[in-house]
Amino acid sequence: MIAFQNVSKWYGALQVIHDISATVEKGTTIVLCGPSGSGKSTLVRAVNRLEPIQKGRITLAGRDIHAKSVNVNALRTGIGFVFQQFNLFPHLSVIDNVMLPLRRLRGQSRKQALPPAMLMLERVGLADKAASLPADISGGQSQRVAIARSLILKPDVLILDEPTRALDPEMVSEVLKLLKELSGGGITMMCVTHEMGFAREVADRIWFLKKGRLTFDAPPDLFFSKDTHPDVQGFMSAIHRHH
Amino acid sequence: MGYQLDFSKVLQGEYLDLILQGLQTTMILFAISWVLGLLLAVFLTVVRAIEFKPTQFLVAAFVEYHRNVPILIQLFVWYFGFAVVLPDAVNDYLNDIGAEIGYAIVALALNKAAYMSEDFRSGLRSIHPAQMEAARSIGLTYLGAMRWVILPQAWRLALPALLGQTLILFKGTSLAAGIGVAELSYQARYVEEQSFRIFEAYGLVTLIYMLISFAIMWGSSVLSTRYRLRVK
Repeated sequence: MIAFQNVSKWYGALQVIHDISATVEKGTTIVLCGPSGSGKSTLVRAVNRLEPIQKGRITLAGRDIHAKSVNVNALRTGIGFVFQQFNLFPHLSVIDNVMLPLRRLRGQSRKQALPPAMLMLERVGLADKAASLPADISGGQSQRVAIARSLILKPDVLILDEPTRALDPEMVSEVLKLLKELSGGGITMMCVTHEMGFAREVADRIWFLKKGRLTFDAPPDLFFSKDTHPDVQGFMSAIHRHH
Repeated sequence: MGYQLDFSKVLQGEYLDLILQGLQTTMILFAISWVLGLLLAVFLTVVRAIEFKPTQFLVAAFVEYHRNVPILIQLFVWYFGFAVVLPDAVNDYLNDIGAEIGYAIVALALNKAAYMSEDFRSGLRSIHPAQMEAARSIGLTYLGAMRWVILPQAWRLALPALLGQTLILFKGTSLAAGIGVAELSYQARYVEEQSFRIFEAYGLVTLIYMLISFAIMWGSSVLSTRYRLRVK
């Protein structure tokens, strides 16, 4: 589904992604983890062209997404993207946030867009918040609305960049529960997170990045076993010291 | 000698007509300058948002001139200064159709445009860049993101300041008396000179200015509350 072929990226003279090659199979869930500054966010942001890459190729269903011929806006409608800070539009109600892609990209009327948007809100458990403004709902609810908005155009791929990092601990689980429900539902997911319990339970493969290199790409069984990569062991003990 | 208050003289007949004509001119001056100023402000904001140094510099210079020179001088520059460079025939024509109010509108509109464009600009700047990124990540074009996500927030953020400018403009119309526009202040002075009812003439226009200012403030407060953008 998504293939990274020798991808490298620089910010000026600083190389932040080093020659990454890997594939994401259709319908699977990939969790990306690693220390901060390891290039996880940059890598997933490159998938919907929020970041350019300088070397290599990223293909989605065989198409080079960074090719000049690719219409970036059309590409992005097929890739849902969820940010750490939710980035809901504060001037729009919850339901209007979810309807915005249908109305402004698919040209639907409010009347046409309302039923599917309400259905999506029900799916994330927030139908009762439809008329609320983003300022009046919690962080966990905001992130669930952001997920609903990113799914409304039925993308093939969903990318999540540290979706629970900005949340209070008690709200993390509601978002992870939703992501767990989505995973395995046919959508291809790439999720940057430090929630290792989530990774163990939901990921088909876990990618470990360090200093811009993909140092380990393994299924959870191997990733969390004694035979895991030494970098992972170091990282895990650092995480556990924190928790 | 005692001064006997007598409002009846300025509240009827020719004097009241003069005051009301002045009020009408004030409202025309206010409304047209406001609309033109707002339109020009939007244009200036767009020009300044485009990354091109020479035009950005021109807009900045425009803004600095209008914010740092007294409005009365700006009115004089147009009415006395600009008129000199025009051919006599053009001046004669303009004077026939009422050049004073035209120049006053131009000066006030340009002045307000400078302030309002700064208000828009600060509204735009206070929107987090992540909003644009989120809008683009959905698949909106740059213009689509501006239209549906950025500008609807920017004008809400700028609204309180724009409404403040509206009140300042309303009171600022009185400066047009300085170039002979027969608006409310000018008429008050004329009526006072003719009728010798000094306190009554100025008292009446003070009351009129206050009533309209209060109405603008009340409307501003209603609009500001209605369209307040709450960001967590």
